[in-house]
Amino acid sequence: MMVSHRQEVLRLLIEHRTSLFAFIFAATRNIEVAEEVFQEVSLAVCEHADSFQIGTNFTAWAREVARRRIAAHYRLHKRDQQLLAFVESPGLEAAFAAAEAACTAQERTVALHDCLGRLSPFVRRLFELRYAARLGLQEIAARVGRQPESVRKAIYRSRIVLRTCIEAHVAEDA
Amino acid sequence: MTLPLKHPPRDQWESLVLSYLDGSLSDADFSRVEALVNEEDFQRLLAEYAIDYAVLHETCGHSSLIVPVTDRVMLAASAGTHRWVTSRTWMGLAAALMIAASVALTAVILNSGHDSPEPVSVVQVIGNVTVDDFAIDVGAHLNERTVVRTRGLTSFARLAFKDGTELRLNGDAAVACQHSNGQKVVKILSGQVSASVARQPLGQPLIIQTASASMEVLGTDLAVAALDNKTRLNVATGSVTMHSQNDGEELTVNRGQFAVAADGVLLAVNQLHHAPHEWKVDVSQRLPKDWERGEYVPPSPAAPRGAIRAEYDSNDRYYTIIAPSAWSDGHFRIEEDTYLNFRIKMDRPEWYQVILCVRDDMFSAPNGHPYHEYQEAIDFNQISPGEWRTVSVPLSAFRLTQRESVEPFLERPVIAPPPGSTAFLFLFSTQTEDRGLEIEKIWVTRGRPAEESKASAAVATRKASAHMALEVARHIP
Repeated sequence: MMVSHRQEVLRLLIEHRTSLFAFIFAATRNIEVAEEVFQEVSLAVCEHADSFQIGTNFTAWAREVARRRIAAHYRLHKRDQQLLAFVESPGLEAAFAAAEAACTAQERTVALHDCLGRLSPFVRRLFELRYAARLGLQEIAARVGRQPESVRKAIYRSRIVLRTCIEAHVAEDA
Repeated sequence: MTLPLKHPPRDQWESLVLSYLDGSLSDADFSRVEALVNEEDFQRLLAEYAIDYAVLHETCGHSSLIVPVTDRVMLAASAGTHRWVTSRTWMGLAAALMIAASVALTAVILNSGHDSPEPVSVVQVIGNVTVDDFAIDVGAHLNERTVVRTRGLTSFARLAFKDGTELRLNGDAAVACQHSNGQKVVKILSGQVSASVARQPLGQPLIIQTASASMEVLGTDLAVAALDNKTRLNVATGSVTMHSQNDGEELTVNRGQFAVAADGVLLAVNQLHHAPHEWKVDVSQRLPKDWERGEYVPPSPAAPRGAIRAEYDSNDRYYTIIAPSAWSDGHFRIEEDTYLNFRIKMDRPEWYQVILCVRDDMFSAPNGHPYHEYQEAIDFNQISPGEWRTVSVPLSAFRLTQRESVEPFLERPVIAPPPGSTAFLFLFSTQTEDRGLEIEKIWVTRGRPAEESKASAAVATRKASAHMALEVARHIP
């Protein structure tokens, strides 16, 4: 009985991992820190799986776990307390819940794949260097022979194009 | 999911959100974020972009070839579905799963009276390779009955069983592997798959199934092409027993032979032959049969010779000319002095690429990579729009393909298709740019082609004549 309960909690964790990771990332703004906190949150969710009641709101529960871990992380590392205030904003939880309700992680991934395919090879290369290789703007600029500010603008513009495309994609599917 | 932002300018907010997530906000902008943090629309925008960011990290991590791929973790997301995620991002989840596994393992051991299936590993991935529509990468382990797909003519995947038996998916292909209690079964749902099969236990041959045939393999190199209701088996080494799916008729196909099963009926065994050393196709009068992609431009009063024009494909969004695929028989055999020659013109002369797909006699990828590329390194500003040119490229000038633009062509190591390999497909592409690329004639020769030699000779003659005329003129008082 305990096995199936824990497995169900794990299944929910896997299902909602992208949104949960995004929540942590929105609070930490640092991919390495977000990964570290996400590890701690995943372990905490497993350890305390028994305290979650199946059928209730998993994401709210998991985000609450995440919120505490983020706070603990920042207390430990004495980071900027402004970030904590941001995480405490009550509307943020609702915003993530609404974003998740709008489309599933799988639908979003499919849309993103399709939309990435519509970007130029140059922009896709920028995305690879930024999001897969995790290079800074200076390093990307050096590799592609552009100015860092031009690279930043190109990435931002393309992120906005990508977002618009994903929204259209999901609206079309709906 | 369109965000109903009532407070434009959305683009300013978007820029603020992106800077915030990037960690590059100025102090002043940070104060703006603080002021907006309780705005419902701003929060929603932030949530959407943060989730995009997470998906991008995951997606780029999957498909990139520029990042060293570490181990991958397969997650059973829910009943009947699986996906692979990067270990770096989701290490925490892996750790969590290990805890769960320690609990679940007890149940598995208690409930299972059979040997657990041995996983099949993904050892090489080129292009679009997916399981359940999710990109997979090197190191992924495939569960039983998981369908692996390679999509697109230049996609490739290499899978390995624990005993060293290897499967290679070429182009558009789909397979599912099962392996339990020592019995391996490979179902080829479609496409071209080659295999190097390690010696199998007596009485447990590897079984390859297609819609129209099944094959028993004890240890050999072979290739199977499963297309619609037809299966072609090519045997490079050893021998394979082939059964028709309908009447159970069987025959043995030995080294250097091939057999075809069509509509459930086995056809006679034939001898495999090497592809010729020379090859040509002239599209100036008509489009050749089975041409994969390209728009035929018929002859006209203005252009007496027809040509084939790069055609847009809405799936890959590339402008491409693709020759027919000849995986089993091959188009031409490559030697050290092989040249690929073609007549080309472009309305907007600029960068283009030629991709050559090759295999060896074992139907494996020579150099461990079937796709080789050539990019002409000239000043395209010197080429007139619409000007027909002859290009002759020694195959030794080709290099391995890479994911787009990762490393400039000329900076890549020269790894050409080796002598003795067979070219089975080639294409010309300007990728996402429509440059009006047209090809009129393609031919393959041993050595530099005579046509060009004649042209060079003509140029030399003209130069000699001009020189003589100058000499004569110099002596005229």
